[in-house]
Amino acid sequence: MTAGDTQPFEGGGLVRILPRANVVKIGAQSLIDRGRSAVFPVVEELGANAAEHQLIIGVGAGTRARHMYDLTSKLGLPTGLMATLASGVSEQNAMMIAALMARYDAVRLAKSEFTQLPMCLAAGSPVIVTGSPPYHWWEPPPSVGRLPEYRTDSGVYLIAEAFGARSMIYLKDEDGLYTDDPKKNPDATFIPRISVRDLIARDFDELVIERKVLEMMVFARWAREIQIVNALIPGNVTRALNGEHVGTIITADG
Amino acid sequence: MGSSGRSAEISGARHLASRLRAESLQSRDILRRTDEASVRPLLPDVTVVKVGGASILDRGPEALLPVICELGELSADHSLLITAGEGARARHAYEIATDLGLPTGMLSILGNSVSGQNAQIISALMMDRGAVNVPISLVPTLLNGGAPVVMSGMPPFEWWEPPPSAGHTPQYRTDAGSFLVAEGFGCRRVIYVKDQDGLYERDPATAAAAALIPEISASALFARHLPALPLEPVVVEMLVNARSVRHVQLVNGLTPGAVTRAVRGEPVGTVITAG
Repeated sequence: MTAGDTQPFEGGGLVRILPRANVVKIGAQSLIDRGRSAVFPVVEELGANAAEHQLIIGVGAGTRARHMYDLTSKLGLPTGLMATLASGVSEQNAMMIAALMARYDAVRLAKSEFTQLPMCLAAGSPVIVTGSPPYHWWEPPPSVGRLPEYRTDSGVYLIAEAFGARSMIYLKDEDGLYTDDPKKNPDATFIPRISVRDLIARDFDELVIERKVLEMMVFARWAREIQIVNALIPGNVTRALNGEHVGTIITADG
Repeated sequence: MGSSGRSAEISGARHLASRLRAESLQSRDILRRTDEASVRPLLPDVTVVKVGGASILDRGPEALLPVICELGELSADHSLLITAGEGARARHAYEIATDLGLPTGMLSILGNSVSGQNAQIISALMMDRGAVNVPISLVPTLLNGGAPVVMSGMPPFEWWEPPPSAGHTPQYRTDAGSFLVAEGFGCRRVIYVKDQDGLYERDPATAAAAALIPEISASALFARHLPALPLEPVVVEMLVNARSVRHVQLVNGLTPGAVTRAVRGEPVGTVITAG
């Protein structure tokens, strides 16, 4: 028994189901779509941490989802179909990551297999999951545009929230949050730490993370802090898992 | 912009050509462009009818069988997607799970299971009408074949239920799930069968002379802050953003003929519009 096991009743009577799990999301457009130069170092670093840290690894969808969103929106197809198809793209990426991480005893679990999460994590196996939430045809209608608003950042976040995970870390190709998209605007300013309420109030048009994650953080019971880190920099993944501040921390309590 | 299907390397990643190439998908100007083509309703002639859990199913044969009988008659010339509420057993499960400190996502899973049981009860009672209880992927085929389809009203959010703004119970329950199926498939009508005539100016349980509201917009409904809304509030919120469903209707399943009139498009009960 560790300290995490003996203190599950914090937080207004709510139980942390997986208090030692770290939920990590691997960005797709930011990392996977770069191919081996970006993916191999990330996979190796996650693998090297598997002995020390329980890992649930959610995977993004990336450029193939963008291609599909563009095509389906031109065809006048509904958001619910887009969400269904995006989930399949994220699943493709999850299968690739699971294959690459097999040497670290990783397993890919579908949502119907989530009862096996505790066993896999206790055995030291990183668990790879589809990043999209399983809303599919039931995707709530978006406020702006046709695309699902709950995409892979949101789906992975909700796993951290539901299971009361120790941390929620987003691996991307930028150092964290900026006032604008740094790929388009060289004058964008880096923000190392911000409260979710401030961030919502500042209403940036570009964001490194889905807006729905911010909205959900306001009401979250467990996942009240997330960190966005640049996984192209060796060591950042390890440092973030060790609780160090290496990117942008967004907090619901600040 | 090419549609060759080839990928191009931009800042280190291989991107497919599209209007959304290399975009964060957060910028509203970019997102708005995806809404230019109007949504194609996939099953416009299907009517989604939600049979209330606590309001109809849990009342037993006196309330449920007349509703089933009307739906059976209607199924001869209307394409019906019938969804089941969750009701008393779900509320009990929510209560126990909450007391045990289990998260909202767990409650969503439990509610879905109860709603699924109720869907099986309804489909059994409508078996003589050819009703089926099938996975979502088979729903269009069976509806097009003329069979009434019965399914769980609960959306399959499960562990992914968003944290509620207040309390612990999932916000997206069977009213929301029924609405979302209609929105996804582009069904023209959503009818909620409950145990009251519709929306009242005041709670009819405490104010005997409360007046029924025949039609109201979602925004006017928010502005009134009605107590005891007989519909999950999230449905009214989603109605504002919905692309296909432009109104929902609440009818009293305890009144003979009300369900039939609503399915035939008559303005019985309360109609809530998106405006």
